[in-house]
Amino acid sequence: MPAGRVPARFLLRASAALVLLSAVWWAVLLKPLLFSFRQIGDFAGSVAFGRASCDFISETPSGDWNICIPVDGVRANQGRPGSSRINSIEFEIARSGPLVFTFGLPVCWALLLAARQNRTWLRRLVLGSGVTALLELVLLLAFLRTYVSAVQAQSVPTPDAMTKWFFDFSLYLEASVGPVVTPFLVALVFQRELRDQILGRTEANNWGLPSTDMKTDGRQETAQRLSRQRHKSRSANTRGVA
Amino acid sequence: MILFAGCILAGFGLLFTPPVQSADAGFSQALVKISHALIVRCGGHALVEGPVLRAPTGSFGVEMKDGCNGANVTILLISAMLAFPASWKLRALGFLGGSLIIQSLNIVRFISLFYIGQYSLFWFDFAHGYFWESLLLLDTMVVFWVWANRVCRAGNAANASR
Repeated sequence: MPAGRVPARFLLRASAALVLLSAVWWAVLLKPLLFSFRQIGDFAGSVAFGRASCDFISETPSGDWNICIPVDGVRANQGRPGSSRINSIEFEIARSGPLVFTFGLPVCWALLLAARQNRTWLRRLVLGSGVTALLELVLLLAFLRTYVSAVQAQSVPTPDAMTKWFFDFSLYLEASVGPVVTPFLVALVFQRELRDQILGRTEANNWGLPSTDMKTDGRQETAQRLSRQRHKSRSANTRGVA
Repeated sequence: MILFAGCILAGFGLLFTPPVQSADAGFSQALVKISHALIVRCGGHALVEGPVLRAPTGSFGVEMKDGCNGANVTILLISAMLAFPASWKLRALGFLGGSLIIQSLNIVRFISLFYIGQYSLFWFDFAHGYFWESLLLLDTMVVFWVWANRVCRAGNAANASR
């Protein structure tokens, strides 16, 4: 098969799977995933950050999330003598906010199912889903923690530009980049064939990789002979990868 | 991987600096103008108000904000190309070709969101926040795949001609 057709076929399969699975996610899986994510997030957040007087994550009647994170800070009362102690910071995030942290699952499934399958596909799917969910949870907790730190930093009378840049940058990475990139990285970790194909580590490419560090002809020949032997033994043991 | 992660962090870090942010806003407005021109060329109707593409009949408008102009996926693609062993000439061709493909797809995405939003805000939220975001990243991955394979083939050809 010509080399260009393999990525094109993968793109078609993955796009079709993404359409199907994201529609299933949107129509069917959203509520149970969000519920599970909230329960696990509440537990993990309480373990990671400690428990305040209120629940770490609770749901408001409108379906939004109420977040309560314990902090240990002293805030100066501007213009008045003395200071006040802050024990926790509580805020609400719209229901659409945490949704992005659950969308990694259908994306991961689409990528894993679109890649070339072998007997271990189910194990990869289960492991990939678990790791994606775990990483998305870590990203959610990191995002909430950074958000609270950003709020605390803003309470300083004169926040500097560098601090503002740092928090904007961190929040963007945790809430916008991380959740979207995570399923792709997980799929590439668990689908070795796909990773090898993308990075050009197929048999045909291994055959001709330039051995720039070989200085003499004799050493170059040895390297090519070894490469040929590796190629033969791999061809005998593994199925071809286009 | 370390180089890839470093390039991503540097790229996104730069994206949040004031001079790049203002250039980014100008770029978004240019993309909105191109999208508008394409819609008009194909017989559609739309109005441009800075970075907002507005439907002439209703109150619906779609704004191209940070992250909607494909800069984030372009940074990911360029980081991957920088981390991959290739000549600077092939990298430059990859940056140019890859960015063009991503921006073309992003204009398709933006125009499709403009029409989906007029049809249903429910589906607009889905397409905008989740579906198109991942589809664009998938396309970026495939663009990198095709480029990396071409780099390997060029390496093979150079090796064979020795």
